[in-house]
Amino acid sequence: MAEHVILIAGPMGAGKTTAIEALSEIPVVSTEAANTDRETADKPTTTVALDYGEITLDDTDKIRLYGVPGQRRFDFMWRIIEERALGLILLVNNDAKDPIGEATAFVEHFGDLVKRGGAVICVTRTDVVSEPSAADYVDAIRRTYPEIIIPVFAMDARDRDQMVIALTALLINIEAQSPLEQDVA
Amino acid sequence: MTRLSHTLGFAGVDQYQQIMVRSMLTHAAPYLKSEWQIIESADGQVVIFGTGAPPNNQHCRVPVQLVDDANDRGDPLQLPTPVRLMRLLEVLKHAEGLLSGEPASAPMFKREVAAPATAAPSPAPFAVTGGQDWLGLAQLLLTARSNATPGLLKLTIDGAAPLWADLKTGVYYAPFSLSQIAGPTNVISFERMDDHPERGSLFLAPLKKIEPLQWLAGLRGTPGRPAPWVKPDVRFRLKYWPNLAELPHTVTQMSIIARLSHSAMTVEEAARASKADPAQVQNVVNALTLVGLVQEDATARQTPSQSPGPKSSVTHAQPPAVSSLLGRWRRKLGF
Repeated sequence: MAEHVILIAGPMGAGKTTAIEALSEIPVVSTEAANTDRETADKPTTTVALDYGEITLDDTDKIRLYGVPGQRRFDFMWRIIEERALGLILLVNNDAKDPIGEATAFVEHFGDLVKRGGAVICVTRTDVVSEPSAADYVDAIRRTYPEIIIPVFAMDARDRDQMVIALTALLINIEAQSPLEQDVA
Repeated sequence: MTRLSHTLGFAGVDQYQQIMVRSMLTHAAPYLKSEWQIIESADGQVVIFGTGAPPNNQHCRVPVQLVDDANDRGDPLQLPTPVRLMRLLEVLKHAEGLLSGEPASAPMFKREVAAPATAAPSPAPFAVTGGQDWLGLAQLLLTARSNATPGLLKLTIDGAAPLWADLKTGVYYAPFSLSQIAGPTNVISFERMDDHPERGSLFLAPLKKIEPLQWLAGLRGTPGRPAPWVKPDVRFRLKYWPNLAELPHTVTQMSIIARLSHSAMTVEEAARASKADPAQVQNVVNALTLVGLVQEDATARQTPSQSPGPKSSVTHAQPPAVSSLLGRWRRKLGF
């Protein structure tokens, strides 16, 4: 059975677990623990290892959705999943202290994946805080990767239709990117 | 360190109106330069003051020096009732202009006077060459985007309740979803006006950014042909992805956008790369240009005598695993 791994990353409280719950066809396997950092994200629990969900395409194929914990002390988990991942859905909450800084830090960390595969940024909680705009995120990332134009969408992680758009854009982006990589090679 | 502040006071406000003002302030926040806060007192007095801090800057709290209306710069600002969102926004912007020393960004509030029944909307300050169709609407939106001139747009589609757009701030309100608009055969009519007596109440509902309307008008303005604002035989490169969560779109259109995000292409090249009908690609380019999301590639202007495509063989060599993954994903979802 072919497996296609999509990595869901982002800072704590951005909505990673919620996004996987919106997309997954199975009950999400979650490793939540009590949140001891209520200042960063005011929620009772947080992911400490992995969230896992999956989408069955047919008898032979599944899309596996892995959500990694947002805290940097768990970044060893990021590397494990990154090696197997086809693409990245990065969730960033717009009401974070420094959402642009958070986004660029994650994009830089997953730079190899961004370059070899693709990435989509889903900005959540734009209904709470409308700035920075999607263009602000793109411009900030462009300073590090001038040739990469990452799709940035304002999304509600609870909304399955919107998360389907994000995943579709990611798969299309990966497909569009692959021939150019071959040319470079 | 202190910042100057402006206070706006109005009295005789009951609890319901206080709630309304608080709600309006939330809606107005995205369009203001600085953070405004509201103080309510038990005696029906409401004071709104600008902190002078950037909006949502939760990490830059500094003491705010409240400036008394009486000894301010001679511009005490008083909000009469009834308060409406656009009026409130105008007054707050005006106050921000006073604080920064810049010219006021909006005229000072004047008590609302009902327009005479015979008053016609003011003529548009720019020529709209198109007719009452999607092309005419697209041209109007393009001009408004370029000039950022104040004005209102009233758009009626198939006789439904009208859509209202504020052309300067780039927001609209519609009592329907744009994705419900079926196809290019819609009968549309629109008019542009400088103001409307009920302007405030028109925009009380949650507003949306105007990009989806620009997108729709761009797609339908000149189906399959270059729009008047699009140069033919030019390579285009995407600057920003549109927010597809808000735009009615197809997967084919998404695929075209993805191709343009990776390299500059002409319409023909993008059609081959995305395996799409060139007419569809042209429509997408028309729309992206109208929204302002693509740029001409100055280094690769194509003429008929030049080679027909970029070096990359984007029409070939699609990795079968990835391609089939997308294909199966599309089949699963039925698009």
